[in-house]
Amino acid sequence: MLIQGIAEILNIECLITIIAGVSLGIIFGCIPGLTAHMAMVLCLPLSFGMSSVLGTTLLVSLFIGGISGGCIAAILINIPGTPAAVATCFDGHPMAKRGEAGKALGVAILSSFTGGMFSVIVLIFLSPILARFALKFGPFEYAAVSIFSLTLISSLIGDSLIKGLISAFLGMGFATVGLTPIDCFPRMTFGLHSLDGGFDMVAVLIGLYAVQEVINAANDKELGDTKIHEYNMKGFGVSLKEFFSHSKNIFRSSIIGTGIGILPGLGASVANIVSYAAAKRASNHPEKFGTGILDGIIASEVSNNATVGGAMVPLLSLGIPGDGQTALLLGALMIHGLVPGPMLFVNNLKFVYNIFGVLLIAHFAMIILARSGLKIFVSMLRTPKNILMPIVMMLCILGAFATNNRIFDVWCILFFGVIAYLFEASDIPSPPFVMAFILSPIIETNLRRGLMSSGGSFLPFITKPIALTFILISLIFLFFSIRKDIINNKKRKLNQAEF
Amino acid sequence: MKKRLLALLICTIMLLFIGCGNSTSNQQPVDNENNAAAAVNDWPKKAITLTIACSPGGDTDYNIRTIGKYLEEELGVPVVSTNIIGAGGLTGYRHAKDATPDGYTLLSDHSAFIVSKAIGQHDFGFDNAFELVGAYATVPGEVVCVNKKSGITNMKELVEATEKNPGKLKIATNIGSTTQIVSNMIEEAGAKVTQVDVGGTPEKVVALLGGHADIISGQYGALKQYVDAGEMNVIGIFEKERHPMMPEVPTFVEQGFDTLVFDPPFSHFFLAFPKGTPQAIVDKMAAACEKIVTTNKDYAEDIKKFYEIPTWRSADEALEVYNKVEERCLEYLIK
Repeated sequence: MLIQGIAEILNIECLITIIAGVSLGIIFGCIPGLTAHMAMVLCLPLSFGMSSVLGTTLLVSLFIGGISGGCIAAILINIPGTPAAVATCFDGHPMAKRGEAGKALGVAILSSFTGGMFSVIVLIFLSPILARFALKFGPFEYAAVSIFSLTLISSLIGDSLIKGLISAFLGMGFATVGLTPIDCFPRMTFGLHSLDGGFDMVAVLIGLYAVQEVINAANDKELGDTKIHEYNMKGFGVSLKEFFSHSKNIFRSSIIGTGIGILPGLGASVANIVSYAAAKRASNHPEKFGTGILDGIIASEVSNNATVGGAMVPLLSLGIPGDGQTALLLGALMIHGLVPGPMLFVNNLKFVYNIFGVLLIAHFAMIILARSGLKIFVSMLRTPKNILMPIVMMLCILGAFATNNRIFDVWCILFFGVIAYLFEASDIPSPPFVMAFILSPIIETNLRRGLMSSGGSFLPFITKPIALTFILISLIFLFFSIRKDIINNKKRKLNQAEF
Repeated sequence: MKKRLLALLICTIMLLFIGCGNSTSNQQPVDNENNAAAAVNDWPKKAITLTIACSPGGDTDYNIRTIGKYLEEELGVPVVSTNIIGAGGLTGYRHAKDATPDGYTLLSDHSAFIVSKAIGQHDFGFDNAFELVGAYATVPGEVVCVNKKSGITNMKELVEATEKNPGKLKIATNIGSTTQIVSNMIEEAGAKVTQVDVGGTPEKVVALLGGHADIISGQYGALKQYVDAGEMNVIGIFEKERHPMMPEVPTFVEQGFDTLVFDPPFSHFFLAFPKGTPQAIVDKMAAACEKIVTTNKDYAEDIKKFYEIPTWRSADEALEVYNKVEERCLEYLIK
């Protein structure tokens, strides 16, 4: 059935659509401010006019290309091209600074491919079972998973606990702006109606990473002198043996990515940071994270692509979109008279296998296209910064505006750019801010919904097995990080005493 | 060098802001009567922005985009659909309300606009903030479904089941939306259920299939496949009579629950200009829209995909319907 499904889409029309979709997706992905979602929104009307298979092919290819392309800007100029690539910056850019941009990109592309393929294979073989399992997640389970993810912040905090906490609490604070979930009461809007909807995640990320980077560049005395080693790269700049020596990391990140993808409401922007934090925690050399090692790039890039297949699980088997991208896909399918959900497998099984085929082929197209474009991407580093950065700034403004067609979001990126600049000046890490900003609304909404259904009782956190498991793991994690911190402090004191 | 670079950067940013700012504010001020008359006679001569207050990809978005597509053909100028989302639609409403009333910014939404007004999220009405053009489509078929495992097949059984165990069965609601009204109506009709907030339609489906809620409501179009797949029982529809597009669904009225009906149907899509738009332009737009809705077969075919039905109501007729909808909201939401 699968082979037949693939064979059916192996025609010129489909292949051209895939190549066009993936290329456009990569371009949107790598430009800071433009996201996979935006590329899909733009092409949505186009897909209405195509056949159902071709239209879906286009959107799925854009999705895959867009998520994969985010790593390019993250590695080369330390600006995540999409929210899904935030954690790729942490290790990717230090490598590029050392002159290993090619290797970092090669690994990122290979990781994207591996993570994506893993999730698609899971989708093809385990979809119905996993979809049923995901249904077990009610509000308490969501709150517990998000609390667990929040505890992972502890591994991203850096040296100073206080500064890390300042960053995390500020992130939570900014997330509370806007109408409250459920009862829609304006909170922290100061009567400014532009703030009613809260701060947009894309605008916040552009501000924190892109605008801050532009300000940094303006501060920099040197212009465009980033080292590029002149080398002839073969393959992906890394031997398969070296790549697969990270197999534990790859496997863990694939599972995290696919899992987060399956749960509606989370998504690639959560997955990459969670996976990075988990990899750092599990690693036996956590101190090297952030200095430019492959582990970090792999964790982030494997997991964000793994969310693609994951997100398709509830979409295809239950008709439930997990994020903005799959919501668009759902809309596009319905216009073609195909209703994703239990009946799709009964009525349009052939179409389902066609989508599986597209997902597989689009990943191959992605790895080939991204690899062949690698030289061009790297040569971007030769552009002097005084030319590159204003262009980046312009694209960011464009992207911030296009997110919601409002000038207000453009001011937001400037505001968060300044915040990020102050963060850097006072040595406060920004990852805890991002993670708290993304996760705390999920916790708040689900906690309130949960309490509404339990009549105000917190007991379900203990009586529901899934929720209990995550709460217990969070507590164990907290315990170990506090213990580690105390031991480290003692060591430091001993060291100081010796000097 | 450093300073010069910084200055250059700031200039770039400023220019861009100015550039972006102009595009929204340089619409011609209509200051003297001659100009105004000319502007009205010329209308439309440039692109019209159609504001959509929800995210792209859903049925609401699709329905509004579709009318936009046909208006473009009818009026001969581009009609640009623009999603401005946030704060449950409020951001988009506000954006359209504050736009220059020159006939080049339109808002389209459905009864959610009235519901959020009734619960006090905003105070924009068709009297103080918008000039209503008319209502162009209705969405029939608000239904109530229960989990198949519960064994409940009609409203009477539901009431009996909740009387044995008051408060045990949970009904999924979405506070501040039509769903909340439906949940309140079910409760008023005698079902002793607990309301739990779960969110929009996809979340409601998850809640029912996952056992986090026992009763959900929604558009039949979105729930039909789960009924077909044997996951849910549909126990009734909020219509006066069985609907021709879904004859298999019994009404609540025929089951003896006379209050559980939306008459006229609850959800209507409307077009509106910001307050102060010249009446002649409103009339021209209404004529164009009416022509599409009443005569264009392709349009009817297009919106049928989401179980939506082209129904034209002029501004006065639409206002009457919306007033009824608002009354109902006030009756069931605020006590």
